[in-house]
Amino acid sequence: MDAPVISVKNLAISYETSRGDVPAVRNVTFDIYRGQTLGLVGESGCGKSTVAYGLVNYLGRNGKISGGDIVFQGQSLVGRSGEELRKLRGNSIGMVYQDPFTSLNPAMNVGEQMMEVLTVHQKISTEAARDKCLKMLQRVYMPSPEKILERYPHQISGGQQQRVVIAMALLNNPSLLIMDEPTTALDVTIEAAVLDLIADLRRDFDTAILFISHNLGVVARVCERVGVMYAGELVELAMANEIFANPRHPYTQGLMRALPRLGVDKASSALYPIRGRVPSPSRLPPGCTFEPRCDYATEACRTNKQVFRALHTPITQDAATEPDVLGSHKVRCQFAEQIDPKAWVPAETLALYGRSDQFGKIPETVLDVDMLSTHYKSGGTSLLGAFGLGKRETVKAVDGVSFKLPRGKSLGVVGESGSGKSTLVKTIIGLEDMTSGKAQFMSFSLEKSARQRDLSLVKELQMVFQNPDATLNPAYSVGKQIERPLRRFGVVPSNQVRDEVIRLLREVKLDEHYYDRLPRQLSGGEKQRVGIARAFAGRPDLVLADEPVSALDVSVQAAVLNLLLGIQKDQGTTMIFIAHDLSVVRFFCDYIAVMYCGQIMEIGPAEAIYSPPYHPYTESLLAAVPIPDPTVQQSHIRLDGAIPSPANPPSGCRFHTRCPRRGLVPGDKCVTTVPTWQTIRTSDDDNDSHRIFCHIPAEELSKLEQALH
Amino acid sequence: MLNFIVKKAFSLLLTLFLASLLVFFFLEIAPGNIAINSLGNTITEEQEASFNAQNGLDQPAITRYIRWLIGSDWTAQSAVGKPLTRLYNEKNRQYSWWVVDTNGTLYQNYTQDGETMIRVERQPDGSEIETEMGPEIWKTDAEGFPTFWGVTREGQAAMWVKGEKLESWVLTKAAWKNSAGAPRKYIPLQMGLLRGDPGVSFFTGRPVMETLVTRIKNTLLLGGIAFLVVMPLALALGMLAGLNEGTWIDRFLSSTSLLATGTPEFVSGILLILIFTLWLDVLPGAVVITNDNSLFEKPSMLVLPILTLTLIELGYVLRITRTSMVEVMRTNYIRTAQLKGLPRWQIVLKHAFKNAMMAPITIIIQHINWLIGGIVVVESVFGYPGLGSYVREAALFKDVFAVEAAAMVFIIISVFTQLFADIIYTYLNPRIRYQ
Amino acid sequence: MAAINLKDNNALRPSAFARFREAISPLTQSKTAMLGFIMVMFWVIIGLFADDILFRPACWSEDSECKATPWLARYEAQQSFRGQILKDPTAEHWLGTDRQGRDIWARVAHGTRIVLALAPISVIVALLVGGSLGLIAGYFGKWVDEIIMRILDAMIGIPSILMYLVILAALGPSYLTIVLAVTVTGAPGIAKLVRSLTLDIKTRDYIAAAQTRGESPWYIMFVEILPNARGPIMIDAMLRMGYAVFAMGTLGFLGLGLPPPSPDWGSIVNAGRTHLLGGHPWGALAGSLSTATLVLGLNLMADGLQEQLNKYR
Repeated sequence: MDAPVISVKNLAISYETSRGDVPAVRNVTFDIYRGQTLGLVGESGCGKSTVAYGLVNYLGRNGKISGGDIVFQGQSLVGRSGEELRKLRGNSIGMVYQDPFTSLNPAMNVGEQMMEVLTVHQKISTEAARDKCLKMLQRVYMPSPEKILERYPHQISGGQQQRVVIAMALLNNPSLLIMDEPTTALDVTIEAAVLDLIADLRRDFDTAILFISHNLGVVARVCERVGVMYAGELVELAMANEIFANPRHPYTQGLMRALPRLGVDKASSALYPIRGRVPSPSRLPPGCTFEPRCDYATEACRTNKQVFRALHTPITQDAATEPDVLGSHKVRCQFAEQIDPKAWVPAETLALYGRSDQFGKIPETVLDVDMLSTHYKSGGTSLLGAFGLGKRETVKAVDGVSFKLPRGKSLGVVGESGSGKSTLVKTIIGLEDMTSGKAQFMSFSLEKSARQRDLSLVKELQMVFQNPDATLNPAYSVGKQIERPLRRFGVVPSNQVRDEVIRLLREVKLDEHYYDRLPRQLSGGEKQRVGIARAFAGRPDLVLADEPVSALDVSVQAAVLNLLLGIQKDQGTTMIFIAHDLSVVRFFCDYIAVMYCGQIMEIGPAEAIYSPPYHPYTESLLAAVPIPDPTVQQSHIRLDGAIPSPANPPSGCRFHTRCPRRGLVPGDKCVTTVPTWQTIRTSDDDNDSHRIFCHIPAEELSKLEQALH
Repeated sequence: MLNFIVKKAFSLLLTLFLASLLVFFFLEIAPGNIAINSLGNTITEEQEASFNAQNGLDQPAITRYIRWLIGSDWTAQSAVGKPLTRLYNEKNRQYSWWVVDTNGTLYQNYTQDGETMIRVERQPDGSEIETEMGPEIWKTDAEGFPTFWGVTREGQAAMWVKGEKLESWVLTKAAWKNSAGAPRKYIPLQMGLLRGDPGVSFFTGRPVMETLVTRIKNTLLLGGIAFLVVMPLALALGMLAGLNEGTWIDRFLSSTSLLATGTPEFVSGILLILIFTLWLDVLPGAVVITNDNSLFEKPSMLVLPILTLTLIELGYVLRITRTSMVEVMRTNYIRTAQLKGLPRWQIVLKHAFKNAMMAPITIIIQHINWLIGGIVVVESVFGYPGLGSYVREAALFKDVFAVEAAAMVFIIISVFTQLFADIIYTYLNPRIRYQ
Repeated sequence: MAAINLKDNNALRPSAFARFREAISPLTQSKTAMLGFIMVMFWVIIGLFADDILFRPACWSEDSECKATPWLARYEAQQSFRGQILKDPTAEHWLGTDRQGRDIWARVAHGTRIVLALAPISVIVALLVGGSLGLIAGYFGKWVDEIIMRILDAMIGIPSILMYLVILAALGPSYLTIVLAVTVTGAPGIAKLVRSLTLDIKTRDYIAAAQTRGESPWYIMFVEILPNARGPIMIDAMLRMGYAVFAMGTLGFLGLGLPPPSPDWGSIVNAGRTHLLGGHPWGALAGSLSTATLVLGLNLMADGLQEQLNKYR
């Protein structure tokens, strides 16, 4: 067998701070071989990016490798001079970054930035370099590469930017490619295409790849070997199939239990969060780092540091002392062999939140949206625009959306960025003005903006936001922020406000000590809970949740989802739940609407959306969504082209420019004619019907193959 | 890109317009009487009224603003019914206004009794011939008065009414002189600021423009040299500090620049005079102008003023550049460049430099306003005969037209420099260049 | 678990002293800010105790005069000493005497009070005007923003020194004119700062949360937005205080400051500078260096606090 391209032994990295050295990464041991992709996963703050930058010794002024060794192509990288490292960087080690836009220099065109990678590391003429860049851009399937070379980064789309960064990393044919969350900033359909590209390139270039991601699904798709990091340590390392099928470390097992699998819903299963939170690197537990959160922890775990070892070897046998055999399964847990994940019982039994029917046969309709449109103007760029006279573009963010929502149910809205899902919700709650159409909440019209609505209506509609760091006002304590809606809506008499706040805090599983805390003293999950308490304080009938869990780590996400489900069930709240993660929506919602370019493409009961007949766009989304299970097969459908601008939507069916099933419709009907709604299934309950906005007849759509199997 | 520049130019024009309004209305409308300010507080009410009438100060503000901005000769021409022309007298260095008669001769008018109008005709050699005009010149106006429009000896278009024996008061060098046979209406003649005539100084009696020209030259010399010294130095040192963030070079440069910006120009000026003139006695502490070429004959006079200006501007620009450089060096694209394996000099020159220049260039040029403040002070410290000391003196003596004119010149300089900076900015920034 | 909660509980309800410490921690954590703070406090103490105005309410009325503190200002600002004209420093007159035979140190000490009263007042007025304009422009946007910002941009386009000269030439020097001049020149800059902060903060979700509660724009502007902008605003205010001191000194120096016999620092410099080249630099020097140290102190404070603020981000 070949020698590994890179071999990391007991790597430790620390940062100097005013309070002494903080160990960000410890005891990381792995090898990567040619043509192999190793995925590193873990929640935020677990040190995976630090490992990536540590490999090229790019740790900033206060970071340093404080122990262990990195052997790259037979030579140690630790303690090498800056000049020697510089010659490796960009040459035999390439890197791809999370945010392609900020990673490209805004003041230089793409060609200059690509060509210098070649000219700095080898003697090559400008023409030859340019030629190579062109070839590489073609290789990463970039449309019209000549033009791209002349462009500046702001002139190309996010997916194209990431292709440029990947092409740039590959120019010198590196032996090792480090990818740090390369698809995190991209939409799911574009992500799928970039992941395909990465898989192709690895095959063709035979490169070793270190692939870092927080998304288990993404890792499952591209990596054959996966390492799990926790609190700066590698806790488990095995082949991807093995780790997803048979995780041995309690943390890995916990992650799997916290993750909603696509196709699973709240009626049939529960998500189990991992209790507690990741320790900060400056305050690590004395024994096993996972001990405080572990269900299997014993007294020994509290005191003994755990050794990273291969399964079925003595618990003191450090894996770093032996070669890293491909296919070996290593764990940092002395009880790894004994723990049986199937025998795991949750500390507290979580109720299943079935599809509730307690409101009678046909629940009343709470929200009725009819042909709702929200258009807004954006500043034009014509010369006259300078004087405020020019033509302005109309952005059709939401364009003719209709649906009904019965009491106590949840509607999930999915779609890529720019699909108008956020604008839809903002229009309903009155943060954006509707342009035309109707929206009715119970007997109230939602025509007016929130500011002009009756307080009694305002009270019934509340919102939960995406970004935990922005959801709370940093200037006020938690208690004050939950108090405000209570006082404003007069929910309880003013002498009981404090008690009510504490009751609400308890309801979101925070105790009363949180009353006086400031937002900056809370973790992301805690902030999100306070945001939920604030939204539910006025006991609203309709809660609109705009990606409430997408900024949270997996283990925290499960807890917040459970919390929302619990409160919804207790209060019989109706919800609209926006998400880009199809598994989360499937788990959480009773109904799902798929939006594209300001319109709903398909709407119906959650389970109906996930199998044929479905809209070709839904099919593409399902084919693209990363599934944290390497055994699941997905049909290979990839969308071409960019998401059209809502300022200038395509004619006819808005999806026709990217539709993979256009061949099923003869002629140019898709281009010229707006489709009509096809009702696939009707039931007595109008809310329960499944409708598709497509020219392809329902029978044909039913014949489409299952996107997931 | 063109859009951006047009937009900027438009907004700067608006700035100019608003600035002119502000300057004019503050100075002329605000409480504080121009007549008393110019003539002293011993004048009688009659004298004040006459002064105001002769100088158009009794007119509504908007009329005066228009006259100040674009002149009054065109309204006067239609009142007189004949073209008017302005001549410059080399000897007493003053303007005079004349009516151009149909046959091309130039004349002015006066009357001593309100009955007989005297026509003063200018000869090609500059001498004047006085003739009495006949009674046929009096035309009956809409209200039935026999009136005559002409140009006075003092340079106003004026309307006399036959038989009216009005008195006017004029302060000559010696004393007040009153004359009978004064006109009923005056339109003080001027070309207006936009046409290069901001009026006549109440204080010196000379056209403001004349003084202004030499002063502007001197100031541009001082400010220009200071700018040329400061910019390259400050940008280079700022980049040096930014690239070496946290090291002793950075700390030294940062604290020095903080000290320099925190010290008012009059303080550093005084300290420099103390050190270099009083104690070391190597440089002159004041600028003495004996002839037009004094500054070039003895350039050492310029050293201390320039040094003073440099000190304060250097600190400011250095700090801005440093901050910008530090920010750029922390960006992801610099990380990319480093991980591409580019050598440091290439990262700095190709990747960091242009981006680091982008942010400060507009801020730095906006700082031209501070440079102007510095110039006013520095010119006063060193007695430098520039626009700055001119505007200060004018403000001290409440010489309204002079303050207005000098202030507008400064504002125009400032506005056009900013436009220039915006153009450089669009050139540097491809995001605007290729919108 | 219980033990941890107890500990947290203690941390949650800090004593008044701890809260005070926390509030001023940015100051104490930065050496730069601390140095600046000491420099400013030096002048504040001199201003407060130059005479016994704090302790003898009787001297607030016209009948009785305040007595100069013997260990501080030593003499009255206007007290002139016979035969002591333009003297160099002695034990009797720490900084020498001026042309009228007045003690320069006594004048500087009394002048502190004028400087330290006018600078904050004018900056606060400018903050009120500029802050409100900025909030309104930033929050309402559209044409309100357009109109306010066009006018403010025009005002920023005018060099502040000209603004000062124009206003003072028009209205004549007085406390009120100086406050007015600093307000007119300072407010546009503050408004721009507050506007950009508002534009940033108003996109945060907690503002949307307030809007979904149907809160009034004024509540959102002053209760939800403003408190989150206070850090940068305070730093800016400190810098502006420096500018104001700077400007007052400059105006005094240019002869456009407060009329004599005001002992403000600018006037002291102006009176002293005519004797500078004659070998009597003490008056000019004392006024100059006082101004410079106070401005520097304020700048250092702003600088240090800015650094701390960046660290928090």
